[in-house]
Amino acid sequence: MRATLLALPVLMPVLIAAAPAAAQDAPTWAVDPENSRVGFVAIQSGDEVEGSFSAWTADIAFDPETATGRIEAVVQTGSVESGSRDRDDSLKGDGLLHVEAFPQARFVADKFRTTGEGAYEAIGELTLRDTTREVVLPFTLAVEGTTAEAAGELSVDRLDYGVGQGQWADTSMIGAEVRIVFEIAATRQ
Amino acid sequence: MATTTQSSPSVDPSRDPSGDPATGTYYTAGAKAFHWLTVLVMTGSFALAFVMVELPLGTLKVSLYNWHKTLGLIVLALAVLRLVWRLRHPAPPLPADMPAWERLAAQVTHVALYLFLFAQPLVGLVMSWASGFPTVLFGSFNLPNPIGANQGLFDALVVVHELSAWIILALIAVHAGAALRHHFVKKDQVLRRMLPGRPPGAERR
Repeated sequence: MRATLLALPVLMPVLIAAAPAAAQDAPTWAVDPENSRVGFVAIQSGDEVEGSFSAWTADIAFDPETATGRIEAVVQTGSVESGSRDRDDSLKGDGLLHVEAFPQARFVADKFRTTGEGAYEAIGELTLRDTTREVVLPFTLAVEGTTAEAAGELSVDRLDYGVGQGQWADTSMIGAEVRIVFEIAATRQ
Repeated sequence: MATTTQSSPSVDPSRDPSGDPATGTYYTAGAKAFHWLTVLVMTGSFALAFVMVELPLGTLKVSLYNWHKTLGLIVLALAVLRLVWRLRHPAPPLPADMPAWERLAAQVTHVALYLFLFAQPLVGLVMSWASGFPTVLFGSFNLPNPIGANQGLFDALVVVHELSAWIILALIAVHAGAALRHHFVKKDQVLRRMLPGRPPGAERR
């Protein structure tokens, strides 16, 4: 343990130097918005409620062979749609996503792990409202020629990110656990 | 109207305090129970409605909506059972001296009220489904949603449900007003025959 801690400052410059190099080497992918989706599944009064965001972008550089690259996804929180105007208004309000003050949610990852055949984990940071936390996002990736399809989901406790102020901190009506889900179709550049 | 020939010619059977359900002069205990239970549940449902629509979007508002939905479905259940009861136990006849237009008005009002007892909860139910919000009954279990969220349908049904609510209130005003008129102005048995308990002078069945 001690040895590891001592080694870190020594290794740090090496890691920092290596990361951008890997990202630069990794092929970039252009998202096909028509066949991609970023959304969530939440529990409202015991029932599953699905929602999605219509406005988001993702800069993806990823090499499936070496599991290196960099992903940055930015979601416009005000584009949330859950099938109900009333619910969307609640989601956009200051008690939940507070889209006026926090118009963007962000996921940035530059470390990846291969966990199986076509299965990976992205180690990155998720920002909701004004809270950023490290997360490990598992995803699958199927590459065929120059096109790729990726899918994954990440369970978060919304209260960890302050999504639930005042009355919305109560988890009996809207559950604490929210599954962030995504399906991305992309073309290799 | 067999009783007419048996009672004194000057006394209308419906004004005869000795009349009882056996002769069809008073409503049956079951009919009274359905009527007053419906009054009770609808009063709660309307009270919730007036409060909940004014609340800001939040957990309290959603909870009140769910109790409104619960009461609405109780009204619907009572209406179904009541209709079955009504078909087996016909309503007592109206006073013989009632003018034709009053009979027609009473008939139309009663039929309309029955229709809304079914229609309003059903519209509300479909509206709840279209809202995409879970329909939580008695604060504890969720009704399945066969249609899913549908904002367009919801927006249309909101208008229908609200308009229906005001028509129902108008019908209730006519209905209750007429009953009070019978009691206090015409001084007949029409109101009394729906009041709880055994009618004064009526034979125990």
